[in-house]
Amino acid sequence: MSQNPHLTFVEEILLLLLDDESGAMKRVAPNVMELLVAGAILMDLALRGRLDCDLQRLVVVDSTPVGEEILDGPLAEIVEAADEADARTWVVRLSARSKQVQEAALARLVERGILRVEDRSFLWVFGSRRYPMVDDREEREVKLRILDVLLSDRIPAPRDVALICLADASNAFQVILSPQELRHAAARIELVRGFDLIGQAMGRAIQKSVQDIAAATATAHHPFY
Amino acid sequence: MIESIKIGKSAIGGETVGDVTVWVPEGRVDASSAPDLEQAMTSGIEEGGEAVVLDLSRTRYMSSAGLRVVLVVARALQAREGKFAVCGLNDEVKELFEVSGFSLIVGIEPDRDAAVAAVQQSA
Repeated sequence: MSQNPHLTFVEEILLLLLDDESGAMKRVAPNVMELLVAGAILMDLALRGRLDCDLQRLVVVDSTPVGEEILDGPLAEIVEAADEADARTWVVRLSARSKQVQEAALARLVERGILRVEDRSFLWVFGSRRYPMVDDREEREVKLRILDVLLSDRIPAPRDVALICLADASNAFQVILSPQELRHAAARIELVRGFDLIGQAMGRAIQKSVQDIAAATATAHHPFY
Repeated sequence: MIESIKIGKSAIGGETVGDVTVWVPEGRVDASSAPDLEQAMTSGIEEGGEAVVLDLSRTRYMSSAGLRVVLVVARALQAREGKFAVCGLNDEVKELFEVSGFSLIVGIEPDRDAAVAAVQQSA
């Protein structure tokens, strides 16, 4: 199966999360989306030979820019960091760039002719921007790669492992698979997402963030407990 | 036949035991050595070596890049219905295999003899 070597993980996951016709983004909690984008950046940089990690730390092994704006800024930030940190810490740190990276990635997808921009306004005042699909080949390929991994016993390629981690964290499987397929693939998803240490770190960061928000919400609703 | 290939801070020794190819990387299997190890192992598979052992008894450290080599090799061998086992893991590398779930997809044996036997048995 061919893979477009020029599409970043951030672009691939955005394609999965966009409704093809309306161009509206599937709802993902903002805190989850921020960490998801940061994880996608780190996994891309690792697979492009710029970063390496183990269970304790993430290191730069090659500081040469990759030539992708959305990856080179974060790479420079890690290169310039004074301290050493693990992958989860870097997921959290880079999440601050998420909005800017998402906008740049959507602009790239428009530039490539995969999406188009549609600005909508309500009463000529309130505006919203949507990205309907122009060419769905890339999106179909991403979905096929995911289905190929989940519905078979084949050992996945490293790139497809990263994609599974991202799709799982964003709940994109709920769009791609039927409830029955999702139940059938649950154990497989659990296994495959463990293969990537950065994907694991991203998952832990998301879990912690979701728990923190749930705890804060519970406290706000029960201030005297 | 034993040959040793120097790669960066590490070295790979490739040995054949019967029809089993045994790879013995030394030192660190990380981003600096993983591409050469992957190249050597996948070339061996493409040349027909479909029973493979990765002996990590001389490997003191493995990173995420090293794990990816294991994944790529396991994938290539599965596609050819080949056989693969890993052996000689130190505690740190063993933990990495367990945490990442690699121990569920790759046979792990205590030493080279057991790994070669496991690969030959299942061939």
